[in-house]
Amino acid sequence: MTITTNDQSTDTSTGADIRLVDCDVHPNFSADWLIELRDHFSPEWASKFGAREAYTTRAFPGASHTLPYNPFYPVPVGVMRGELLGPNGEMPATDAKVAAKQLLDEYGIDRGLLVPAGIIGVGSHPNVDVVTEVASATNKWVVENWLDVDDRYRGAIICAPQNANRAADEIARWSGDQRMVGVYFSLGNVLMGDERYFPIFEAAEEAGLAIMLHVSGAEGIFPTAPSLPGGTPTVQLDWRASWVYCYAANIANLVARGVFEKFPKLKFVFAEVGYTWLPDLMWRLDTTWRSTRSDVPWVKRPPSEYILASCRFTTQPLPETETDEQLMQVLAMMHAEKTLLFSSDYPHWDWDDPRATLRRLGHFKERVAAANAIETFGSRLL
Amino acid sequence: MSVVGLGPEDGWVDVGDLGQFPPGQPTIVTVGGIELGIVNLEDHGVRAVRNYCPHRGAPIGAAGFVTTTFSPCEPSALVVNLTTVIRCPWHKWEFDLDTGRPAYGISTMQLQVHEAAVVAGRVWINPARQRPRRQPVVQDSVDRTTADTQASERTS
Repeated sequence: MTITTNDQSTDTSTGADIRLVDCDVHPNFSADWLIELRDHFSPEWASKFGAREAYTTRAFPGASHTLPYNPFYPVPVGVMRGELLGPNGEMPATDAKVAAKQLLDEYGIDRGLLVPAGIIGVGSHPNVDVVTEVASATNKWVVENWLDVDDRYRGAIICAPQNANRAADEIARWSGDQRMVGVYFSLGNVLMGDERYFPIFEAAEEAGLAIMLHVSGAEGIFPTAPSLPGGTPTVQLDWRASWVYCYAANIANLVARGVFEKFPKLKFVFAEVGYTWLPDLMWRLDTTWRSTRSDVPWVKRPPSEYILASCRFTTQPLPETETDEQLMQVLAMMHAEKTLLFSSDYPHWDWDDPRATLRRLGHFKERVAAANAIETFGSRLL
Repeated sequence: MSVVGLGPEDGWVDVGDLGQFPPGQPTIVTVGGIELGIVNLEDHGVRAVRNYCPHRGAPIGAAGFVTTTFSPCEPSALVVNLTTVIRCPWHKWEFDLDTGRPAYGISTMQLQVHEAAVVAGRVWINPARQRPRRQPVVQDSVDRTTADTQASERTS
Protein backbone atom coordinates (compact mmCIF):
# COMPACT_ATOMS: atom_id res chain seq x y z
CA MET A 1 0.00 0.00 0.00
CA THR A 2 1.00 3.62 -0.30
CA ILE A 3 1.48 5.44 2.92
CA THR A 4 -0.59 8.54 3.10
CA THR A 5 1.12 11.77 3.89
CA ASN A 6 -1.29 14.09 5.54
CA ASP A 7 0.94 17.07 5.98
CA GLN A 8 -0.82 19.69 8.04
CA SER A 9 2.36 21.38 9.13
CA THR A 10 1.11 24.67 7.77
CA ASP A 11 -1.90 24.52 10.06
CA THR A 12 -2.01 27.76 11.94
CA SER A 13 -4.78 26.72 14.30
CA THR A 14 -4.13 27.65 17.90
CA GLY A 15 -6.20 24.86 19.27
CA ALA A 16 -8.81 27.18 20.71
CA ASP A 17 -11.51 25.06 19.12
CA ILE A 18 -10.22 21.92 20.81
CA ARG A 19 -11.75 21.64 24.24
CA LEU A 20 -11.53 17.99 25.08
CA VAL A 21 -8.82 15.50 24.11
CA ASP A 22 -9.07 11.85 25.04
CA CYS A 23 -5.52 10.48 25.28
CA ASP A 24 -6.39 6.81 25.68
CA VAL A 25 -8.85 5.32 23.17
CA HIS A 26 -8.59 1.64 22.31
CA PRO A 27 -9.50 0.33 18.87
CA ASN A 28 -10.01 -3.42 18.89
CA PHE A 29 -9.37 -5.97 16.21
CA SER A 30 -12.71 -7.45 15.21
CA ALA A 31 -11.16 -10.83 14.60
CA ASP A 32 -7.95 -12.66 15.33
CA TRP A 33 -5.09 -10.23 14.85
CA LEU A 34 -3.62 -12.32 12.03
CA ILE A 35 -6.84 -12.12 10.09
CA GLU A 36 -7.33 -8.45 10.86
CA LEU A 37 -3.84 -7.49 9.77
CA ARG A 38 -3.20 -9.96 6.98
CA ASP A 39 -3.82 -7.45 4.20
CA HIS A 40 -1.18 -5.22 5.76
CA PHE A 41 1.58 -7.79 6.08
CA SER A 42 4.21 -8.15 3.43
CA PRO A 43 3.55 -11.19 1.24
CA GLU A 44 6.48 -12.93 2.87
CA TRP A 45 5.21 -12.39 6.34
CA ALA A 46 1.66 -13.22 5.41
CA SER A 47 3.00 -16.58 4.30
CA LYS A 48 5.14 -16.99 7.37
CA PHE A 49 2.19 -16.26 9.62
CA GLY A 50 -0.02 -18.58 7.63
CA ALA A 51 -2.30 -15.64 7.05
CA ARG A 52 -2.03 -15.41 3.29
CA GLU A 53 -4.91 -17.67 2.59
CA ALA A 54 -7.74 -18.30 4.96
CA TYR A 55 -6.13 -18.36 8.35
CA THR A 56 -7.29 -21.50 10.00
CA THR A 57 -5.85 -24.11 12.24
CA ARG A 58 -4.82 -25.89 9.07
CA ALA A 59 -1.89 -23.51 8.78
CA PHE A 60 -0.52 -24.41 12.18
CA PRO A 61 -2.35 -27.47 13.41
CA GLY A 62 -2.59 -27.32 17.14
CA ALA A 63 -0.67 -24.08 17.33
CA SER A 64 -1.07 -20.41 16.63
CA HIS A 65 0.82 -17.17 16.75
CA THR A 66 -0.08 -15.10 19.78
CA LEU A 67 0.98 -11.62 20.77
CA PRO A 68 1.90 -11.01 24.40
CA TYR A 69 -1.20 -10.68 26.54
CA ASN A 70 -2.54 -11.66 29.93
CA PRO A 71 -3.61 -15.30 30.12
CA PHE A 72 -3.35 -15.63 33.88
CA TYR A 73 -5.12 -12.72 35.52
CA PRO A 74 -8.48 -12.30 33.80
CA VAL A 75 -10.96 -9.69 34.87
CA PRO A 76 -13.77 -11.95 36.05
CA VAL A 77 -16.39 -9.56 34.74
CA GLY A 78 -14.76 -9.09 31.33
CA VAL A 79 -12.66 -6.24 30.08
CA MET A 80 -15.20 -4.49 27.85
CA ARG A 81 -18.11 -2.25 28.73
CA GLY A 82 -20.96 -4.73 28.67
CA GLU A 83 -23.51 -2.46 27.02
CA LEU A 84 -21.23 -1.93 24.04
CA LEU A 85 -20.97 -5.59 23.09
CA GLY A 86 -22.73 -6.63 19.90
CA PRO A 87 -25.81 -8.88 19.93
CA ASN A 88 -23.62 -11.90 19.51
CA GLY A 89 -20.96 -10.69 21.86
CA GLU A 90 -19.00 -8.82 19.22
CA MET A 91 -16.19 -6.64 20.49
CA PRO A 92 -16.79 -2.89 20.75
CA ALA A 93 -14.48 -0.29 19.19
CA THR A 94 -13.89 -2.34 16.08
CA ASP A 95 -15.45 0.24 13.81
CA ALA A 96 -14.14 3.78 13.73
CA LYS A 97 -17.49 5.31 12.86
CA VAL A 98 -19.35 3.53 15.60
CA ALA A 99 -16.66 4.42 18.10
CA ALA A 100 -16.79 8.04 16.98
CA LYS A 101 -20.49 8.08 17.65
CA GLN A 102 -20.26 6.32 20.99
CA LEU A 103 -17.33 8.33 22.28
CA LEU A 104 -16.43 11.45 20.32
CA ASP A 105 -19.95 12.60 19.44
CA GLU A 106 -21.54 11.50 22.68
CA TYR A 107 -19.08 13.31 24.92
CA GLY A 108 -17.95 16.18 22.75
CA ILE A 109 -14.42 14.87 22.40
CA ASP A 110 -12.45 16.81 19.79
CA ARG A 111 -9.46 14.49 19.53
CA GLY A 112 -9.05 10.84 20.39
CA LEU A 113 -5.57 9.34 20.66
CA LEU A 114 -5.59 5.70 19.58
CA VAL A 115 -3.75 2.92 21.36
CA PRO A 116 -4.71 -0.34 19.60
CA ALA A 117 -5.50 -2.80 22.35
CA GLY A 118 -4.31 -5.88 20.48
CA ILE A 119 -0.69 -4.80 20.26
CA ILE A 120 -0.06 -3.01 23.53
CA GLY A 121 2.18 -5.80 24.77
CA VAL A 122 4.40 -6.23 21.71
CA GLY A 123 7.43 -4.95 23.60
CA SER A 124 7.41 -8.25 25.50
CA HIS A 125 7.52 -10.42 22.40
CA PRO A 126 10.80 -12.35 22.14
CA ASN A 127 11.05 -12.15 18.35
CA VAL A 128 12.00 -8.74 17.04
CA ASP A 129 11.27 -9.74 13.45
CA VAL A 130 7.69 -10.60 14.30
CA VAL A 131 7.15 -7.41 16.24
CA THR A 132 8.68 -5.21 13.57
CA GLU A 133 6.25 -6.63 11.03
CA VAL A 134 3.27 -6.49 13.37
CA ALA A 135 4.04 -2.89 14.29
CA SER A 136 4.32 -1.89 10.66
CA ALA A 137 1.11 -3.68 9.70
CA THR A 138 -0.77 -2.21 12.63
CA ASN A 139 0.31 1.29 11.71
CA LYS A 140 -1.16 0.77 8.25
CA TRP A 141 -4.30 -0.66 9.83
CA VAL A 142 -4.68 2.33 12.13
CA VAL A 143 -4.33 4.77 9.26
CA GLU A 144 -6.72 3.01 6.90
CA ASN A 145 -9.32 1.90 9.39
CA TRP A 146 -9.31 4.81 11.83
CA LEU A 147 -7.38 7.94 10.91
CA ASP A 148 -8.77 8.03 7.38
CA VAL A 149 -12.29 7.51 8.68
CA ASP A 150 -12.63 10.40 11.11
CA ASP A 151 -10.28 13.36 11.32
CA ARG A 152 -10.72 13.62 15.07
CA TYR A 153 -8.60 10.54 15.61
CA ARG A 154 -4.87 10.72 16.18
CA GLY A 155 -2.35 7.90 16.24
CA ALA A 156 0.91 6.89 17.87
CA ILE A 157 3.44 5.16 15.66
CA ILE A 158 3.80 1.63 16.92
CA CYS A 159 7.34 0.35 16.92
CA ALA A 160 9.40 -2.60 18.10
CA PRO A 161 11.65 -1.35 20.91
CA GLN A 162 13.49 -4.68 20.73
CA ASN A 163 15.51 -3.15 17.90
CA ALA A 164 15.72 0.60 18.22
CA ASN A 165 17.22 1.19 14.80
CA ARG A 166 14.38 -0.61 13.11
CA ALA A 167 11.98 1.25 15.37
CA ALA A 168 13.54 4.52 14.26
CA ASP A 169 13.00 3.47 10.65
CA GLU A 170 9.33 2.86 11.37
CA ILE A 171 9.10 6.26 13.03
CA ALA A 172 10.70 7.88 10.00
CA ARG A 173 8.26 6.05 7.73
CA TRP A 174 5.24 7.58 9.44
CA SER A 175 6.38 10.82 10.99
CA GLY A 176 5.37 12.77 7.88
CA ASP A 177 1.77 11.96 8.66
CA GLN A 178 0.78 14.79 10.94
CA ARG A 179 -2.03 12.72 12.38
CA MET A 180 0.60 10.65 14.14
CA VAL A 181 1.26 12.56 17.35
CA GLY A 182 3.45 10.09 19.20
CA VAL A 183 5.45 6.90 19.23
CA TYR A 184 3.96 3.96 21.08
CA PHE A 185 6.68 2.37 23.21
CA SER A 186 5.68 -1.03 24.57
CA LEU A 187 7.87 -1.86 27.54
CA GLY A 188 9.97 -4.98 27.76
CA ASN A 189 12.21 -6.26 30.50
CA VAL A 190 14.86 -3.58 30.09
CA LEU A 191 14.26 -0.28 31.81
CA MET A 192 13.72 2.38 29.21
CA GLY A 193 16.54 4.66 30.24
CA ASP A 194 18.90 2.17 28.62
CA GLU A 195 21.10 3.56 25.88
CA ARG A 196 19.85 0.93 23.44
CA TYR A 197 16.62 2.92 23.14
CA PHE A 198 18.25 6.22 22.32
CA PRO A 199 17.68 5.90 18.54
CA ILE A 200 13.96 5.80 19.27
CA PHE A 201 14.16 8.87 21.45
CA GLU A 202 16.30 10.69 18.90
CA ALA A 203 13.88 9.92 16.08
CA ALA A 204 10.87 10.92 18.14
CA GLU A 205 12.40 14.14 19.41
CA GLU A 206 13.55 15.14 15.95
CA ALA A 207 10.10 14.54 14.50
CA GLY A 208 8.30 16.31 17.34
CA LEU A 209 6.57 13.15 18.51
CA ALA A 210 5.85 12.26 22.13
CA ILE A 211 6.72 8.84 23.52
CA MET A 212 3.49 7.09 24.51
CA LEU A 213 3.45 4.33 27.09
CA HIS A 214 0.54 2.29 28.28
CA VAL A 215 0.07 -0.70 30.49
CA SER A 216 1.27 -3.51 28.27
CA GLY A 217 -0.96 -6.17 29.75
CA ALA A 218 2.00 -8.51 29.84
CA GLU A 219 3.69 -7.22 32.97
CA GLY A 220 5.26 -10.03 34.95
CA ILE A 221 3.89 -12.73 32.66
CA PHE A 222 6.80 -13.42 30.33
CA PRO A 223 10.52 -13.27 30.98
CA THR A 224 10.68 -10.65 28.26
CA ALA A 225 7.97 -8.53 29.92
CA PRO A 226 8.46 -5.78 32.49
CA SER A 227 9.22 -7.35 35.85
CA LEU A 228 6.79 -6.84 38.67
CA PRO A 229 8.03 -5.77 42.09
CA GLY A 230 8.49 -8.35 44.77
CA GLY A 231 7.41 -11.45 42.96
CA THR A 232 4.58 -13.08 41.09
CA PRO A 233 1.01 -11.90 41.67
CA THR A 234 -1.87 -14.36 41.80
CA VAL A 235 -5.02 -12.71 40.52
CA GLN A 236 -6.18 -9.59 38.72
CA LEU A 237 -6.31 -7.76 42.05
CA ASP A 238 -2.65 -7.98 43.00
CA TRP A 239 -1.42 -8.07 39.40
CA ARG A 240 -3.21 -4.85 38.57
CA ALA A 241 -1.97 -3.14 41.70
CA SER A 242 1.60 -4.07 40.80
CA TRP A 243 1.62 -2.53 37.34
CA VAL A 244 2.15 0.99 38.40
CA TYR A 245 5.48 0.30 40.04
CA CYS A 246 6.92 -0.84 36.71
CA TYR A 247 6.30 2.63 35.42
CA ALA A 248 7.59 4.36 38.51
CA ALA A 249 10.77 2.30 38.12
CA ASN A 250 11.05 3.31 34.47
CA ILE A 251 10.72 6.98 35.29
CA ALA A 252 13.39 6.63 37.97
CA ASN A 253 15.61 4.92 35.40
CA LEU A 254 15.02 7.63 32.82
CA VAL A 255 16.24 10.12 35.40
CA ALA A 256 19.22 8.04 36.46
CA ARG A 257 20.42 7.43 32.93
CA GLY A 258 20.17 11.10 32.00
CA VAL A 259 17.54 10.65 29.30
CA PHE A 260 15.63 13.77 30.27
CA GLU A 261 18.87 15.72 30.17
CA LYS A 262 19.85 14.29 26.80
CA PHE A 263 16.41 14.67 25.20
CA PRO A 264 15.00 17.77 26.83
CA LYS A 265 12.31 18.38 24.23
CA LEU A 266 10.91 14.87 24.38
CA LYS A 267 7.68 14.24 26.27
CA PHE A 268 6.84 10.87 27.81
CA VAL A 269 3.14 10.16 28.21
CA PHE A 270 2.22 7.43 30.67
CA ALA A 271 -1.30 6.13 30.10
CA GLU A 272 -3.35 4.14 32.56
CA VAL A 273 -0.59 3.56 35.04
CA GLY A 274 -1.80 5.89 37.78
CA TYR A 275 -0.11 8.96 39.20
CA THR A 276 -0.98 9.30 42.87
CA TRP A 277 2.41 7.70 43.44
CA LEU A 278 4.18 10.44 41.55
CA PRO A 279 4.66 12.90 44.43
CA ASP A 280 6.24 10.17 46.53
CA LEU A 281 8.47 9.09 43.65
CA MET A 282 9.64 12.64 43.08
CA TRP A 283 10.34 13.15 46.76
CA ARG A 284 12.32 9.93 46.97
CA LEU A 285 14.33 10.74 43.88
CA ASP A 286 15.08 14.29 44.95
CA THR A 287 16.15 13.21 48.42
CA THR A 288 18.35 10.44 47.12
CA TRP A 289 19.83 12.68 44.44
CA ARG A 290 20.89 15.27 47.01
CA SER A 291 22.88 12.55 48.70
CA THR A 292 24.20 10.72 45.67
CA ARG A 293 24.52 13.45 43.03
CA SER A 294 28.18 12.61 42.49
CA ASP A 295 27.09 9.13 41.39
CA VAL A 296 25.06 10.62 38.53
CA PRO A 297 26.68 13.99 37.79
CA TRP A 298 24.78 14.14 34.50
CA VAL A 299 21.61 14.60 36.54
CA LYS A 300 22.08 18.32 36.82
CA ARG A 301 18.81 19.29 38.41
CA PRO A 302 16.55 17.76 41.03
CA PRO A 303 14.84 14.73 39.44
CA SER A 304 11.41 16.19 40.10
CA GLU A 305 12.23 19.09 37.80
CA TYR A 306 12.97 16.74 34.93
CA ILE A 307 9.86 14.68 35.60
CA LEU A 308 7.57 17.67 35.75
CA ALA A 309 9.09 19.00 32.54
CA SER A 310 9.08 15.75 30.58
CA CYS A 311 6.47 13.30 31.91
CA ARG A 312 2.74 13.40 31.41
CA PHE A 313 0.05 11.14 32.81
CA THR A 314 -3.48 10.30 31.78
CA THR A 315 -6.43 10.64 34.13
CA GLN A 316 -8.12 7.27 33.91
CA PRO A 317 -8.65 5.70 36.36
CA LEU A 318 -9.34 8.87 38.28
CA PRO A 319 -8.59 8.18 41.96
CA GLU A 320 -11.69 7.68 44.05
CA THR A 321 -10.45 9.56 47.06
CA GLU A 322 -12.49 9.86 50.23
CA THR A 323 -13.04 13.53 49.58
CA ASP A 324 -12.71 15.82 46.60
CA GLU A 325 -10.28 17.90 48.61
CA GLN A 326 -7.93 14.94 48.81
CA LEU A 327 -8.01 14.60 45.05
CA MET A 328 -7.19 18.28 44.67
CA GLN A 329 -4.24 17.85 47.01
CA VAL A 330 -2.82 14.97 45.01
CA LEU A 331 -3.32 16.83 41.76
CA ALA A 332 -1.60 19.89 43.21
CA MET A 333 1.36 17.81 44.39
CA MET A 334 1.87 16.33 40.93
CA HIS A 335 1.38 19.73 39.25
CA ALA A 336 -1.58 18.46 37.29
CA GLU A 337 -1.96 21.88 35.73
CA LYS A 338 0.75 20.78 33.33
CA THR A 339 1.30 17.05 33.83
CA LEU A 340 -2.17 15.54 33.61
CA LEU A 341 -4.03 14.71 30.38
CA PHE A 342 -7.62 13.58 30.16
CA SER A 343 -8.33 9.98 29.13
CA SER A 344 -11.38 7.74 29.12
CA ASP A 345 -9.95 4.30 28.27
CA TYR A 346 -12.93 3.66 25.99
CA PRO A 347 -14.28 0.97 25.56
CA HIS A 348 -12.89 -0.86 28.55
CA TRP A 349 -14.89 -1.96 31.56
CA ASP A 350 -13.03 0.38 33.90
CA TRP A 351 -13.30 3.43 31.69
CA ASP A 352 -14.04 6.86 33.10
CA ASP A 353 -17.11 8.73 31.97
CA PRO A 354 -15.70 12.02 30.63
CA ARG A 355 -18.41 14.13 32.18
CA ALA A 356 -17.86 12.63 35.61
CA THR A 357 -14.11 13.02 35.35
CA LEU A 358 -14.27 16.64 34.28
CA ARG A 359 -16.68 17.45 37.12
CA ARG A 360 -14.15 16.25 39.66
CA LEU A 361 -11.12 18.10 38.32
CA GLY A 362 -11.93 21.43 39.97
CA HIS A 363 -9.71 24.25 38.81
CA PHE A 364 -7.52 21.80 36.90
CA LYS A 365 -10.34 21.02 34.49
CA GLU A 366 -9.47 23.21 31.52
CA ARG A 367 -5.79 22.38 31.56
CA VAL A 368 -6.44 18.66 31.86
CA ALA A 369 -9.26 18.58 29.32
CA ALA A 370 -7.23 19.92 26.40
CA ALA A 371 -4.53 22.52 27.05
CA ASN A 372 -2.00 20.08 28.50
CA ALA A 373 -2.52 17.67 25.61
CA ILE A 374 -2.04 20.45 23.07
CA GLU A 375 1.18 21.49 24.79
CA THR A 376 2.35 17.88 24.89
CA PHE A 377 1.57 16.85 21.32
CA GLY A 378 1.86 20.24 19.67
CA SER A 379 0.54 21.17 16.27
CA ARG A 380 0.00 17.57 15.25
CA LEU A 381 -2.96 17.45 17.56
CA LEU A 382 -4.66 20.49 16.04
CA MET B 1 57.17 38.92 60.51
CA SER B 2 54.00 40.93 60.72
CA VAL B 3 50.59 39.96 59.56
CA VAL B 4 48.05 42.61 58.84
CA GLY B 5 44.57 41.76 59.98
CA LEU B 6 45.44 38.65 61.92
CA GLY B 7 45.43 38.85 65.66
CA PRO B 8 43.16 38.68 68.63
CA GLU B 9 42.07 42.26 68.06
CA ASP B 10 40.56 41.15 64.75
CA GLY B 11 38.90 38.13 66.28
CA TRP B 12 41.50 35.61 65.16
CA VAL B 13 42.34 32.76 67.47
CA ASP B 14 45.44 30.59 67.44
CA VAL B 15 44.14 27.03 67.67
CA GLY B 16 47.43 25.20 67.60
CA ASP B 17 50.39 23.98 65.67
CA LEU B 18 49.71 22.80 62.15
CA GLY B 19 51.15 19.43 63.13
CA GLN B 20 48.18 18.87 65.41
CA PHE B 21 45.92 18.71 62.39
CA PRO B 22 46.60 15.64 60.30
CA PRO B 23 46.11 16.26 56.60
CA GLY B 24 42.88 15.12 55.05
CA GLN B 25 40.14 14.64 57.53
CA PRO B 26 38.85 17.28 59.94
CA THR B 27 39.89 17.75 63.54
CA ILE B 28 37.57 19.40 66.03
CA VAL B 29 38.52 22.44 68.06
CA THR B 30 36.29 24.47 70.32
CA VAL B 31 36.60 28.23 70.21
CA GLY B 32 34.33 30.40 72.28
CA GLY B 33 31.97 27.51 72.79
CA ILE B 34 31.69 26.90 69.05
CA GLU B 35 32.84 23.60 67.62
CA LEU B 36 34.79 23.91 64.40
CA GLY B 37 36.22 21.23 62.18
CA ILE B 38 39.70 22.17 61.00
CA VAL B 39 40.71 20.65 57.69
CA ASN B 40 44.36 20.60 56.77
CA LEU B 41 44.66 20.65 53.00
CA GLU B 42 48.45 20.83 53.10
CA ASP B 43 49.58 22.87 50.08
CA HIS B 44 46.10 24.34 49.80
CA GLY B 45 45.93 25.69 53.32
CA VAL B 46 43.43 25.05 56.04
CA ARG B 47 39.67 25.35 56.23
CA ALA B 48 37.31 25.64 59.16
CA VAL B 49 33.68 24.54 59.14
CA ARG B 50 31.01 24.59 61.80
CA ASN B 51 30.34 21.20 63.29
CA TYR B 52 26.72 21.44 62.31
CA CYS B 53 25.28 20.41 58.96
CA PRO B 54 22.58 22.86 57.88
CA HIS B 55 20.47 19.97 56.64
CA ARG B 56 19.84 17.96 59.80
CA GLY B 57 22.46 19.12 62.25
CA ALA B 58 24.89 16.26 61.77
CA PRO B 59 28.46 16.62 63.15
CA ILE B 60 29.96 17.41 59.76
CA GLY B 61 32.95 19.21 61.25
CA ALA B 62 33.94 16.18 63.26
CA ALA B 63 32.96 13.34 60.99
CA GLY B 64 32.61 14.87 57.54
CA PHE B 65 34.59 13.21 54.76
CA VAL B 66 36.88 15.47 52.78
CA THR B 67 37.03 14.48 49.16
CA THR B 68 36.66 15.60 45.56
CA THR B 69 33.47 15.37 43.59
CA PHE B 70 32.25 15.20 40.00
CA SER B 71 31.28 18.06 37.75
CA PRO B 72 28.03 18.07 35.81
CA CYS B 73 28.63 16.19 32.59
CA GLU B 74 27.08 14.27 29.75
CA PRO B 75 25.36 10.96 30.54
CA SER B 76 27.79 8.18 31.40
CA ALA B 77 30.78 10.52 31.36
CA LEU B 78 32.70 11.37 34.51
CA VAL B 79 34.61 14.58 35.05
CA VAL B 80 36.47 14.81 38.34
CA ASN B 81 36.21 18.19 39.96
CA LEU B 82 39.26 18.88 42.05
CA THR B 83 37.47 21.34 44.25
CA THR B 84 37.57 19.93 47.72
CA VAL B 85 34.24 19.24 49.33
CA ILE B 86 33.26 17.96 52.71
CA ARG B 87 30.65 15.22 52.70
CA CYS B 88 28.25 15.07 55.63
CA PRO B 89 28.33 11.79 57.56
CA TRP B 90 24.55 11.45 57.67
CA HIS B 91 22.93 12.10 54.30
CA LYS B 92 26.14 12.58 52.35
CA TRP B 93 25.39 16.09 51.17
CA GLU B 94 28.51 17.71 49.79
CA PHE B 95 29.57 21.27 50.54
CA ASP B 96 32.32 23.34 48.99
CA LEU B 97 34.96 23.77 51.67
CA ASP B 98 35.79 27.25 50.44
CA THR B 99 32.33 28.72 50.28
CA GLY B 100 30.10 26.36 52.24
CA ARG B 101 27.77 26.16 49.27
CA PRO B 102 26.07 22.82 48.64
CA ALA B 103 27.40 21.06 45.57
CA TYR B 104 25.69 21.88 42.29
CA GLY B 105 22.33 23.00 43.52
CA ILE B 106 21.36 20.09 45.71
CA SER B 107 20.05 22.60 48.23
CA THR B 108 20.08 26.26 49.17
CA MET B 109 21.27 25.56 52.71
CA GLN B 110 24.86 26.66 53.27
CA LEU B 111 27.39 25.16 55.59
CA GLN B 112 28.94 27.79 57.82
CA VAL B 113 32.62 28.13 57.03
CA HIS B 114 35.09 30.41 58.74
CA GLU B 115 38.26 32.20 57.82
CA ALA B 116 41.30 30.09 58.51
CA ALA B 117 44.98 30.61 57.89
CA VAL B 118 48.38 29.10 58.55
CA VAL B 119 50.97 31.58 59.74
CA ALA B 120 54.38 30.61 60.95
CA GLY B 121 53.30 27.02 61.35
CA ARG B 122 50.34 27.95 63.52
CA VAL B 123 46.69 27.54 62.59
CA TRP B 124 44.53 30.57 63.07
CA ILE B 125 40.80 30.75 62.67
CA ASN B 126 38.32 33.52 62.96
CA PRO B 127 35.16 32.18 64.56
CA ALA B 128 33.43 35.49 64.20
CA ARG B 129 33.96 35.93 60.50
CA GLN B 130 32.80 33.68 57.78
CA ARG B 131 34.39 33.05 54.48
CA PRO B 132 34.65 34.27 51.89
CA ARG B 133 36.17 37.48 53.21
CA ARG B 134 39.47 39.25 52.66
CA GLN B 135 42.15 37.14 54.17
CA PRO B 136 45.15 38.27 56.20
CA VAL B 137 48.07 39.39 54.09
CA VAL B 138 51.52 38.15 54.97
CA GLN B 139 53.91 40.99 54.46
CA ASP B 140 57.22 39.66 55.63
CA SER B 141 57.41 36.00 56.22
CA VAL B 142 58.69 32.81 54.76
CA ASP B 143 55.36 31.34 55.71
CA ARG B 144 52.42 32.32 53.69
CA THR B 145 48.78 32.59 54.24
CA THR B 146 47.41 29.92 52.06
CA ALA B 147 43.73 30.23 52.53
CA ASP B 148 43.27 32.06 49.26
CA THR B 149 45.68 30.14 47.13
CA GLN B 150 43.30 27.55 45.92
CA ALA B 151 42.04 28.57 42.54
CA SER B 152 40.05 25.55 41.66
CA GLU B 153 36.57 25.48 40.27
CA ARG B 154 33.79 26.21 42.73
CA THR B 155 31.12 23.63 43.33
CA SER B 156 28.22 25.92 42.88
